[in-house]
Amino acid sequence: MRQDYEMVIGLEVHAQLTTNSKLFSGSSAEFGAEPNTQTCPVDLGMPGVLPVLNTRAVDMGIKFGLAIDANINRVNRFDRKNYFYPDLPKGYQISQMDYPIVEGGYVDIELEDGSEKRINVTRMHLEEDAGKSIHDLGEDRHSHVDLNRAGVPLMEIVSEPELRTAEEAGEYLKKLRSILRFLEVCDGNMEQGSMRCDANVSVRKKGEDKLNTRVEIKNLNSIRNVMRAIEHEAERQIAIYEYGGEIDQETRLWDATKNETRTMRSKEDAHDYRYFPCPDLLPVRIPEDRIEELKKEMPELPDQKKERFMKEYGLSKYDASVLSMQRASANFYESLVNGNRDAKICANWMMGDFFAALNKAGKDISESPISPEQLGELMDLISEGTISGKIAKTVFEEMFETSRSAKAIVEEKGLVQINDTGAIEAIIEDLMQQSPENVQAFREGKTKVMGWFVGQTMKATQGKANPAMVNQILQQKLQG
Amino acid sequence: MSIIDTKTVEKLAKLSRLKVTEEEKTILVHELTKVMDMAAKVQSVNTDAVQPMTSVIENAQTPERDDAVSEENRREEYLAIAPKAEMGFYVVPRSVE
Amino acid sequence: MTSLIELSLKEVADKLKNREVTATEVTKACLERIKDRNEQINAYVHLTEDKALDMASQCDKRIKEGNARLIGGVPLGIKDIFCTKGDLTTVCSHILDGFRPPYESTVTENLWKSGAVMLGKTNMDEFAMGSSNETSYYGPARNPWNLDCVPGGSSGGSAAAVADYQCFGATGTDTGGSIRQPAAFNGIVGMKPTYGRCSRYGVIAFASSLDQAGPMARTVEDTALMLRCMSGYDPMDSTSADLAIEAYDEGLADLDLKGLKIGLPKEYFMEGLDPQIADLVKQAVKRFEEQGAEVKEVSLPHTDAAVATYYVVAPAEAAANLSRYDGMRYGLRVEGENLMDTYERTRSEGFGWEVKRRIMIGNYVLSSGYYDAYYTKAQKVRSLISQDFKNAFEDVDVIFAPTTPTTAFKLGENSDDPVQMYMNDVFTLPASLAGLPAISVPAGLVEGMPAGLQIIGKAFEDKKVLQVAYAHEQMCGFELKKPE
Repeated sequence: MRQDYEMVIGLEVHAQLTTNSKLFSGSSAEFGAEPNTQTCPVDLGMPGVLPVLNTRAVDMGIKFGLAIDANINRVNRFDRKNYFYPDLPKGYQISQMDYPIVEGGYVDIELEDGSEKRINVTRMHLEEDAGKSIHDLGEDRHSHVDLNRAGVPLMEIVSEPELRTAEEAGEYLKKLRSILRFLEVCDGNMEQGSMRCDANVSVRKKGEDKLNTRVEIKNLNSIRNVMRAIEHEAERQIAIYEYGGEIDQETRLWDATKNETRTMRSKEDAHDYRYFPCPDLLPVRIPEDRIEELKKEMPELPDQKKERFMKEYGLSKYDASVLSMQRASANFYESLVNGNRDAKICANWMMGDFFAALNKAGKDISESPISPEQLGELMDLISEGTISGKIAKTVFEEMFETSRSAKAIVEEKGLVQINDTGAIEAIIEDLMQQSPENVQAFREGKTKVMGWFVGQTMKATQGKANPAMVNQILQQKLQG
Repeated sequence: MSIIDTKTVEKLAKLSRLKVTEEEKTILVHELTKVMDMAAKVQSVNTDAVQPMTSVIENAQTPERDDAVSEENRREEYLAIAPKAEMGFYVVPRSVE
Repeated sequence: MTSLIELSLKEVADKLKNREVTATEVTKACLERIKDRNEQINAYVHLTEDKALDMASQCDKRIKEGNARLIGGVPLGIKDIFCTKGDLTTVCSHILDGFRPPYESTVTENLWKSGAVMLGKTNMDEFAMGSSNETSYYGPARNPWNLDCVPGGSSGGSAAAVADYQCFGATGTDTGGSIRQPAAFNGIVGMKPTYGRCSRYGVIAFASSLDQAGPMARTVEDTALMLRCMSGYDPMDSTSADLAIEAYDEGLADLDLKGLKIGLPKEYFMEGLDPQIADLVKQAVKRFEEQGAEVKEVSLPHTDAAVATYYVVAPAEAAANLSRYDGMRYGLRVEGENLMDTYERTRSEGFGWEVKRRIMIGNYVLSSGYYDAYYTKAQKVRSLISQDFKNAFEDVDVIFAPTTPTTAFKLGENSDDPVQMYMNDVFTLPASLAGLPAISVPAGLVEGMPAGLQIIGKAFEDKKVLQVAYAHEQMCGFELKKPE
C-alpha cells in the first residue's frame, strides 16, 4: 500500500453464543442438526406466538461487558429491525438499537513489532440470528431455507474505527476470539460461521483527520480473509482517489476465490430498517447483585494470564503472550509445569517442538496426541539426566506419532543416557590413542578439535553419553 | 406536516411488500393524506419533558427463562402447513440472482 | 319456560353441574340455533361441530364422574383470532387461508381446562382492524337487533353470536375498543381487562402493546365468570401480569355504593355524541347517586389526541406484526416471477384494503424522517393520556363514559371515509392506550337500538369494575331482545 495513505477500519463482529436454547424460544441452539429439526412456532414466526428472553444469553452479555471493562447498561431494551428475507421468519429481527446491553470498553492488541495498541469498543448488543438459505439445491428458480439457526443468540460487537492496518484488524479479531473463548460464550469458529465479521473500510491521506466515505465488506469467513479483503479494498479505494474518483457508500462482498470485492448493495438500496421498541418484551433490568454474582464467575482472561505467566513463571512477554492467547494452550502449559518443572524449559518445548509438531499435523492443541502429563514425563527424563536433550527430540517425535509414554520408548530402545564416568573415560582414552594427531593439535591450541572428539564420543555411544560429562572428561584428558 | 404523494405511496408500498395499481395509488394518496392529517394532531400536543411510553407496564422487567431446551423436533408437522417444502427445507423463490 | 339457549352462562353452568341438562344437549341446542341463524347473522366463520360434540361428551363424562369444572359443558364462541390447535384460525383474512395452527392459545387452553366447549370461530374485522366487521374476508356479521346494521367490530361476530343466543359467551379481543364497541352495539356485556390479565400467547397480534383478550356475555356475572376462566399469568407472554387469578364472579354484589366515587370526564360529553346516549349515561349515574355514590366531573385533557395517538402507535406495531405473512412458511402464497413479486402478490391478494392501508400508515410513521415526528411523539402523548387517568383516579374510583358516540350504524355507512370510521373508537381508545380495565354494559335503548355504558377502572381493579357494572345492571332493567 502507498505510504502516504492510511486505512481507517472498524469491525462488526457477530459472535454466536453457546447457549443450549435460542434467544427467545426453547428450541435447541446446537450447530449441525438436520435442516429445520430445531425449530418451534416462535422461531418460525407463526401467528400469535411470543418471545421470552433466555437468561443465560443476558449473563453472557454481561460477562463480555465485564471482560472488556465496558459499561453494562442497567436498563437495556430490545427493538425490532424490519426487513423482508425468506430466512427471517417474522419479517423483523429482534435486536437492540438505542439501548444496547454493553457500551464502551476496549481490547488491547499486541503487534508484531512488539508495540501495543488499545482498540475501543463502541457497543455490544444481543440479537437473534437469521436462518440459512441454500441456493444450489434443486431447481434454479428456488432457494431452500433451513431455520435451525433462526433465533440463535448473537452478540454484535462493534469496534471504533481505530484500526489502521490489516494486521491490527487481524490481531483485534484474534484477541476478541480469545476473550470469547476464555469466557466460554462463543466457540469462535469463523469457518462454521459461529463468529462472523463485517469490515468498514475507508482510506485517507496520512495526517488527515476526516473520515472518508466507507465501504462495508461482508462474507469474511476467516481472519486471513478479513485481512486480505481489507488490503484489497484499501488498494481499490486508493486507486479511485488517485484517479480523481469518489468512493460510493456501499456494501461489497468479498470473493475469496477471485481475491476481490464486488458490489452487493448500493446506498440507494440501503434498507430503512424502521427500528422501534419490541412491544412483546419489556426492558431488561440488571440489578447490581446480578453483576456482582457474575463477577465471581469470571475466568482469568488472556491479558491477566499473560501478566501472571510473566510474574509467576518468569516468562518473557512474548512467550507469555503466545502461551496465554488460547485457553487450551495456557492450560496445557500450566499442567506441564505442574508447579515444579522448569517453567522456561517447558515453555521452550511447548513453543518449539510441540507447536511445530501440531502445526505439521494440522492439529489443534485440543486434538494433541499427547497429554501434558506425558510431555512432563519427557521433561523429567531430561532433567534427571536419563536422556539427553538431543535424544529427547527423537523420543518426542515417536511419542507424538504413537501416543506412547516417554519412559516406554526410552526403555524399549535402550536410549538411557550413559552417566558412567568409567565407561565414558574408556571411550575417550581409546579415541585419544587412535588419533594422537588430534590430541597434538588440541594441545597446540587448536581447541576446535574438541568438537571432533565430542562427536566421536557421541557416535560411539549412539548419542547416549551424557554430553556434560563428555565435555568435562575431554577437557580434563586433552589438557593432560 | 407530511405530504403524501404518489411517490410516497410507491415507496411505502415497496417497504410494505404490497403491489398497488395506478388507480389504487390515487385512492391511497387521498386516504393516507386524510389519516395522516388526523394523526398530525399528536404534533400539536406539548410533550416537553415527557418520556415516550413503550409499554403500559411500568417499571417492570422482561421475564427471563432458563436456558433449557423445551422444544422437540416437530419438523414434519410444521413443514406440512408450508406452501412448499422438500427434503426437510422450506422452498422459497430464489433469493439471490 | 325460558328455552335452553336463553339461559345465562351461569344458569346453564349450574344446571349442567346439577345434571339437569347434559353438555351434549346444550351444545346441540346451540349448534341448531347457529345453523338456523348463521345465514342471516354470519356470526360464525368456521364451525367446529365435531369438536364441539366431542368436547361436550367428554364434559358429560366428567360431570357424571363428579368432576364438574367451573364452566363444564358450557358452549362458547371463539373469535377467529385465537389459535386453537388443528382448527382453522384465519383472523378473517385471506392470507391465512387454510391455516390450522399446530399450537393452542393460552386463553382458550384455560377455557378448556375450565370445561368450556368450543362451537366454532366467530367473525371479525380482518386482523381486528375495523369497527364494523365489514373488513372480514368472509363478509360482515350482522346486528341481530337490526340486520341492516353492523354488529360493530372488530369482535362483531362474537357480540352478534352472544346477543343472538348462538352461544352463552364468546371471547373477544380489544385493541382500541374491539370488545366494548360491539358489546354496546349488540346490547351485551363486554370487558377489556387490564393489559396483562389475559395472556396474548396464541392470540394473533394486531398491536401488541394494546391487544388484550376479554369476555363477552349477556350478563355481568357471566362476564366475570368467563374472565376468571380465561385470565392468569402466562410465562409464555412476557407482558403477562404475574398475579393470582381472582374469583371475579364471587361477591359481585358486595360493593358498598355509598361513598363510591364516580368520575365523569367532561371531554367525553362532546360534539358528535348522540345526546340520547349521553342521557342514558347520566341516568345511570343518577341511579348510583341515589344509592349514595358521589359523582364528580373529572378532566382527561388529552382525550382529543387519543385517536391520533392510536392511529400512529397501532399501525406501527401492526406493520411489523404483519410482516410474517409473506407466503413462505404457512398460509397463502401467490407465486410470482421472483421473490419480490411473490411477496407482493401474496400480500396484495392476501390482505384486504383496510389492512393494507394500516400497514402503509405504520411503515410511514416508522420510516426514517418521520419516526420522531409521529412515532416517538405519539408515544409521548400516550404517556400524557395515561397520566390523565392517573390524575383523575386520584379523586375517583371509577370513570363512567359512553362506550360509543352513536348506536350501531348501517352497513356501508362509514366505509368510504377511514377517519370517520376511526372516530367511532373515540371513547374506547383512551383506556386502551392506558391499559386500563374497561367494561361496556347495556345502558338502554336509543330508537330501538342498544347503547352501552362504559366503566373504566384503575389498573388491575378489574373486580371493582365488574362490581360497579353489576350494580348498574341490577338497577338498569335493560332487557336483551328475545330471539324471534
